[in-house]
Amino acid sequence: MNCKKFKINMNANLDNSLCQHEKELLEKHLNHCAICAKEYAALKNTKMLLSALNKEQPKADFEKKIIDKIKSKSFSQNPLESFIAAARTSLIASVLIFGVIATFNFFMLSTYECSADNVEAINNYVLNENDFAKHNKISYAKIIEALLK
Amino acid sequence: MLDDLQLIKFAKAGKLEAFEALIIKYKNKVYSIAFSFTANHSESDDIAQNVFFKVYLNLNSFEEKSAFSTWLYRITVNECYNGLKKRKNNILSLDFEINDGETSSVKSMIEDKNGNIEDSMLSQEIQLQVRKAVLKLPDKYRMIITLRDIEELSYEEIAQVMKISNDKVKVWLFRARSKLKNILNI
Repeated sequence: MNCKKFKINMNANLDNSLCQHEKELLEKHLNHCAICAKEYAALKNTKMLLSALNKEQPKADFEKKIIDKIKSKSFSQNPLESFIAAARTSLIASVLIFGVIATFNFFMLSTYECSADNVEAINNYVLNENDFAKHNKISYAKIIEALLK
Repeated sequence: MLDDLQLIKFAKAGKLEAFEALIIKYKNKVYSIAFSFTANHSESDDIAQNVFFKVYLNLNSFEEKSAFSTWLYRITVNECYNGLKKRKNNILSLDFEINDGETSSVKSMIEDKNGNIEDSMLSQEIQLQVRKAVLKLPDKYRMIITLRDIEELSYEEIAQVMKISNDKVKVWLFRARSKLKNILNI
């Protein structure tokens, strides 16, 4: 095995990922190759330096800050609040629609009552009473009499 | 004590206490990854806060196919890269300046210990030199060194977190350590 292949295995050996046979071959090579032995020691020290670095930690209020942020976000998306907002919008829309319909009816009915067509409608009503009498086989006079009571 | 999946189940149901327990369990690791990558406390705090906030907002998309920690570290790595983009677009705001030719103290310390620094407590000065050297690595090498040598994740976890193959993990680690060794001049 040449030195290049051993270099990759040196790295793997630092992570204990060589099988026993590969490990023995590497150790044998390192005992005979001064250049690779020096390289291996340097790689090992590099790894040791990294492992020995202090583990930096967050500030004491770290989780509180996140929970506060989540709560403020959750509040703006509270289902009850969303329901109240939707109900309020629906109510306002209903009032507006009712208002429009009521206004429309008010003006249209006023116009209907004042128009000449309405007089004609009353005549039609009398005529219809006449038709009613014929259909029900009772006299028109009886109907008038009943209406006058 | 509840495990991660149980805590997630409660958190999904709106129990903030369960999510807080997850934060407490993983905050040091997430913060430490961010700090190893950025070497800046303020930036690491922002990254870690964003990570947990995003995790909370996306809890329902966690399908439990992988460990929660893997999913969390993956979001952390993405957030580190996102922070890097912002930083490159704005200003370089590290907690310390990076100067060349400052690694002599590391080399002399190793020589003092006859080349064996195992179980050594590193002085503040040495810590600083090593952090500076890590910052000089390309992003992907800095991340892989952070995950393996500082945070001690397994090859498999690193492959999942960085979305690369196991073989690539080995190659990148080899290159990253070799580069770092050269930067540290040891």
